Amino acid sequence: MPETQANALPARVSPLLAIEGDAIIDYKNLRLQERKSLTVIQVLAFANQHQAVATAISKELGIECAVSPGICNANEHTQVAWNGPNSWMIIASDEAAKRKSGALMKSLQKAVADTGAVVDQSHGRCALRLSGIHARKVMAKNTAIDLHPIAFGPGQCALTAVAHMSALVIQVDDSPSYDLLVARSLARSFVDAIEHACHEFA
Amino acid sequence: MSQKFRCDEGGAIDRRKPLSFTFDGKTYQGYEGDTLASALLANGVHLLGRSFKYHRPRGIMCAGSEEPNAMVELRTGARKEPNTRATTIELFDGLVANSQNRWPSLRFDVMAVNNLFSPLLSAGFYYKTFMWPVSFWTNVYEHIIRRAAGLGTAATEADPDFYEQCHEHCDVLVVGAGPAGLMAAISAANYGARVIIADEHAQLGGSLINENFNVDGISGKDWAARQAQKLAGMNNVHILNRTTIFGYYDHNTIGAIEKVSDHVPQPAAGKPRQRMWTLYPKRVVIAAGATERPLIFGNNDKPGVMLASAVRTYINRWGVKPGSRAIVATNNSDAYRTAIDLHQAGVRVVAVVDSRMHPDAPLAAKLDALSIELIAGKTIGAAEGGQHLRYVQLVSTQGLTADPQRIDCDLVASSSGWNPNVHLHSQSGAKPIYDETIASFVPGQSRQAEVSIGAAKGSFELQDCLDQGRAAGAEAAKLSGFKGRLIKTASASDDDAYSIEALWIAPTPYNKSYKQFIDQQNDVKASDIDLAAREGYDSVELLKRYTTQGMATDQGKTSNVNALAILAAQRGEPIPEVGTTTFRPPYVPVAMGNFAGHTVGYQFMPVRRTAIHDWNEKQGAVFIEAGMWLRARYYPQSPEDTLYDCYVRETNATRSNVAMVDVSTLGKIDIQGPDVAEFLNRLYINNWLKLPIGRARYGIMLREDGVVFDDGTTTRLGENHYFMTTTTANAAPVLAHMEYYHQTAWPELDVVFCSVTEQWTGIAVAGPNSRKLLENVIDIDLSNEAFPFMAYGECKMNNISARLFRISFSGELAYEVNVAADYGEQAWLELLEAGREMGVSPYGTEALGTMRIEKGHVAGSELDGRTTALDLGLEGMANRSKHFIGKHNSQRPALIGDGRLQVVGIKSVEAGRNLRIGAHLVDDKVKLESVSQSQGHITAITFSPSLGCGIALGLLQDGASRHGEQIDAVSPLHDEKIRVEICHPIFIDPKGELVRA
Repeated sequence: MPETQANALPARVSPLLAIEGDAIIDYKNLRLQERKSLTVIQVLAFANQHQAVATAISKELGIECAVSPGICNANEHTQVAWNGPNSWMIIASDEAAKRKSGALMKSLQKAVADTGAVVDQSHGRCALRLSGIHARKVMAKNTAIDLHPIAFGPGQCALTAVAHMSALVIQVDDSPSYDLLVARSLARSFVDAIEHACHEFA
Repeated sequence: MSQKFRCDEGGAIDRRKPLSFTFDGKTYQGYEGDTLASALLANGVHLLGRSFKYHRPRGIMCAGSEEPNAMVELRTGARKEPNTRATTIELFDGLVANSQNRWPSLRFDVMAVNNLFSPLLSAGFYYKTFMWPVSFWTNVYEHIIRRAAGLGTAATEADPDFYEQCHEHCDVLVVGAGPAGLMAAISAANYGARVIIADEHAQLGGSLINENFNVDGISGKDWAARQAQKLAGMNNVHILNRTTIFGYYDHNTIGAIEKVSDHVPQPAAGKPRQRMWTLYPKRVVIAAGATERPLIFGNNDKPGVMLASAVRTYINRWGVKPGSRAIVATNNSDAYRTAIDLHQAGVRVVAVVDSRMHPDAPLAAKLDALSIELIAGKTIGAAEGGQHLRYVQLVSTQGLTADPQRIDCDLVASSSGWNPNVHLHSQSGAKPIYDETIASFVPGQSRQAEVSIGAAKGSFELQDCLDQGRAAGAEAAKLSGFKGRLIKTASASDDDAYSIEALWIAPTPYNKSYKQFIDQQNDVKASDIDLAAREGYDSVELLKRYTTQGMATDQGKTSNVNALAILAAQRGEPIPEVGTTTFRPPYVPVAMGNFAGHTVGYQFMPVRRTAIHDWNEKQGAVFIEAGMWLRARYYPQSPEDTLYDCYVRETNATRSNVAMVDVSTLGKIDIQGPDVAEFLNRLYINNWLKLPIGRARYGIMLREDGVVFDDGTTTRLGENHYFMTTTTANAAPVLAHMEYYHQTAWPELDVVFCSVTEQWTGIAVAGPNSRKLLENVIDIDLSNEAFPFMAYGECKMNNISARLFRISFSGELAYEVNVAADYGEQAWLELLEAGREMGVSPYGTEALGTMRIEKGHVAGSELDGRTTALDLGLEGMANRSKHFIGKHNSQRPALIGDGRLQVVGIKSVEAGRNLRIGAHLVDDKVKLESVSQSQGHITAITFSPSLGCGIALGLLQDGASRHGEQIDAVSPLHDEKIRVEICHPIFIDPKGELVRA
């Protein structure tokens, strides 16, 4: 056995490592940035347990976990997004929540107990935030869903194709800002497509 | 200032902004607001091109996107765009255009000789004239025909501009911003509906700009500008100008092209050339207007013969006089306006020739007041002139055989009536119907949420258009769930009633034979239609294909109804009996770039990269595409290293020492719940009920039809927690397969599952020294007793949490380490470091493939969607006492009978000769040229470093019982025949002792 290192985990390496700095796009009215080192947890309810799981999540996080589709409730460091029938995606910044890494996974497992499955997806998703007054136009170039304020607003989410890639879209505020969760392996292709759509607003 | 034919005032052009452009190398001036066509006409240029087949001189016939003739090559170099209609090109400073389909010059074109040979070039000539000898078709005739006929030439360089796509939803889409469309949009928007209004022009207004109308006491042009301004100020309205709606698809989905940068020399930074919109309106109001039909007479294709409405448009929209001595020829009341507008613009109108015996009296009075001669009961029989119209011969429409009357002129404005633009209505699935009163097709019963209004519905009077727009906009908003109040009416002051008496084709002077063109872009003449009908091609669809009528880039916008009427006359039947052709998208030609959008070049398809991708790249690994993934195929150590050198080295390293491969691309599915064991037991053919915690098992899944679907391992992580791996290719299909059965067949099973492919980086460490390597970094006991073959355990690799599986694809002692992906590269580096002194190296998919062939592991090329477990030698795994997907269908007689292709090993018996993938396995009596007697084929080949010879896997009829037999592997494509020996597919360690060592 090798000697054990004193310090804990190595730093997480984002799939967008090659992109320097925080903001990928930083125009006057348009910004694309990566939200690094988030905890992303998928919770799936066992048969007839979706209400129980939702209640457990709500209680544990202090955020109402919606059972109806397309809703994402949040506080300043954690989002609870509907992620399909009987499934939710919990996206949290441990840093903002002053939590130890892995602590949320453990506490959710305990809260959900045998009513559902709690699956760590933290490293499987790349999280991006697209914001600014042109953000909706950039999204319209890449997704077919209706993002007009009448149809989609803050606190709403959708599982859809963005730039031909599967994504969880969450509207954060009406600036507008959108959080986009995509598969880690596709992160660079995804950013390429979004960047391309942004160029006309440079 | 050389624009001799420009009026001093009027038109929607800006005379303070002159623009300079060149056509065929000569420089001209135009104004902002011009099209290329209007600017050329202002300069007296009428000859724009040569026709498709006969190379006849052609000019400008129309003023919009329906133009069949005036096609040019726009721009030069990489931005060159052939077959662009001069009538739709917005003029910009420095524009360069050239005529096409002529050599050596437009005025003197050698191929015009085709005109003399025209009797040989009748309808369907290429089916008849060039029949013999057969071999000449591809080698000789086709080349000649393609050279002679044709349009412009495409740019050979890559398009330097980009295209993009955009989506938008709305309540009401209004197609066209003429009087009806403007009213509809304002009306709907006033109800609060989300409105999109699209128009192909830069300026909204349509016919209000083309014509000399008055609305609400002001000029139509000004009224339109006011409405446009009103719309621009409403935040629930999106104006898409320079946008053509080209397609109406299912579920009210609409395709549109916005010409973002076609009116400037090159796109501004970040702007696309064109943008394709996919629109999702709840309701569609089609106010797309109507297209005028030309009269059909001899030489009606002469430059100088134009549509009556086009002549008005050139005068009113662009302040251009298309000629100096004009004849207006018509069969309806509408063209009288042309005479009046020409007169007001100062063009001498020699006469209005009305084919009807009794023209409308008020119109006759209007002409009389202007001292314009009206000739009733006559029409133009033929036009004459060289490269431009010089005179026309008038003939009687009443069967009188008097000598034709010659009238000198340089402009004919002709009208044979109007076709409502029913294209989108028809594309939406509806059937247009024939309306006798306007001698044209009008929209029929709607099939989708659309309505046609105004001229697009066959209402040609301005007041009707305004009223219908007002009502239709409100109705569409109401149907979309809005409540509100109707906007005020708008009133048109100067509108004449529309009347028509159809005249489909003019008699010719002295009954002589003339070329009477129907489809000018494809050079289809009235005589071609007669000939086709005589030869039996007398249904519309056959006629179209035989004569190519309506099959040019203009899709017969000005010609289809004329052709149909002539066919109907031939058949002696009324037009509705003969039918109409179906309109198909796109309404106008659409550049292919629009459909690709930004997904060209390296963005053609998204790429999936593993966490170790960057390291691989730095090592100079050569990648291979596996679905969307990029995987390291092999690692050259020097520039001279070949694929062969690398995979042999990497295989040897694995078999003799230890090596590592990135297997992150395998599908990974997390499965949890009380019923997982039973769920797996039904998905896989083998037993799953008694898999202990901390153990993995290999499994085979079948499709419902009994054919093998996928293979992989599933590991039991906890009491109700399992972890499945799939092949890279089937990661998504297996998940979908599980979802499907869980949701439809076994909802009672309490399981949940999700893909965790992305969460984990997988690294296989393989080789006799793999245990030794891992013992340097892993904190659990890896002895054979504590961690045997197919064991699983959670561990720490230095500080990184890892999942460790003792599974092997190479056939060697091997482990698979999974770590959370953000630590993937770190884990890879730590493993390399742990094995540095032992000389560990990475291996790619090529060595991986070599080793799996040596071990006889089946993979994608054997799991080809046709093979059963029995064919693959895996039937022994199946537990037939339980139920599983595909169990019964796998026992169908044809799947278990003799003659099945079964997996075999194959060895070359000819030293030094390598096997060929795809080669057929045939009896030695069969000749190389004939492989119809194929008994199977080679599915995967490699050079086996361990055996020192070429080996392969293949599928061979009854192969399992033919080990030891010799047979030929032939590849006729390579003219190759190799003697091979059939053997057991497992070449190395058949008892599997190494993996358990």
